[in-house]
Amino acid sequence: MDDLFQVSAQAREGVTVVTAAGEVDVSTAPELRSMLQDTSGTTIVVDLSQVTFLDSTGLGVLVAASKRGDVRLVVTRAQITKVLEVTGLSEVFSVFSTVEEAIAR
Amino acid sequence: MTVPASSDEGTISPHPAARRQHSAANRVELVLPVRPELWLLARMSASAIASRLDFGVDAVEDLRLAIDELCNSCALGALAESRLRLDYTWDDDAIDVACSVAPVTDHALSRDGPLDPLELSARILEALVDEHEIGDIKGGQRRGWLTIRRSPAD
Repeated sequence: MDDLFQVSAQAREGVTVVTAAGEVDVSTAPELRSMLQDTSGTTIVVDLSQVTFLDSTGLGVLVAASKRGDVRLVVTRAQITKVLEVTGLSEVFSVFSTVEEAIAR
Repeated sequence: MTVPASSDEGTISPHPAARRQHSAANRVELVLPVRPELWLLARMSASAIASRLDFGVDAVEDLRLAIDELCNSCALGALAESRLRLDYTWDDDAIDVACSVAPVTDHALSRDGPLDPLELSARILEALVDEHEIGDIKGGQRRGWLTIRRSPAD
């Protein structure tokens, strides 16, 4: 079941891009939290375009990261957009459709 | 078989399944250790039931997330030995899911941001399902339930 979620980070054009893939739930969110806490710099692009499931635990991790710096989200899946909208967090985060757009902001 | 509205349910309303008659063939019970990595099984079960009922793709996805939030909410304060029980019942037009976790203790929320987990879960459930309720702890157990109905588009 651990293979259901993967996360990695790389520096790109002065920002850190954290790429998550798979399902972010209460069992995998700590891995995302750890990655976000370990990143240096105040601007983080979190690429969620390969995330197929995001629950309140994952959202909490993203909100916590946004308290430490500028967190920009890349979202392409309708279900992820929906959960951001119904929780009101689409108004909290800057949401982009590509990593390039998020970096260029 | 119906889910009885017992008197020990505390502040929670009777589960909607208690108001409807379901065939025993339309019931699945799932009992899990309270290990969050096993919520996947709860989501898969919900997804399978909704798919068999020809609920639309969006409704199936909504139900998966709602079940996850139901489990998250009911499992707050669970102990290592706690068990999570899910009771899925359905008819042609609706799926009811009752969840209970025992034993649970009063849980001091560890806030990881400005919003607590229960608040986020409540917002998600409010948006995705037709009815839901999460009860207070009563007798060392927390119960919750949700109902999702087939949308006219399905």
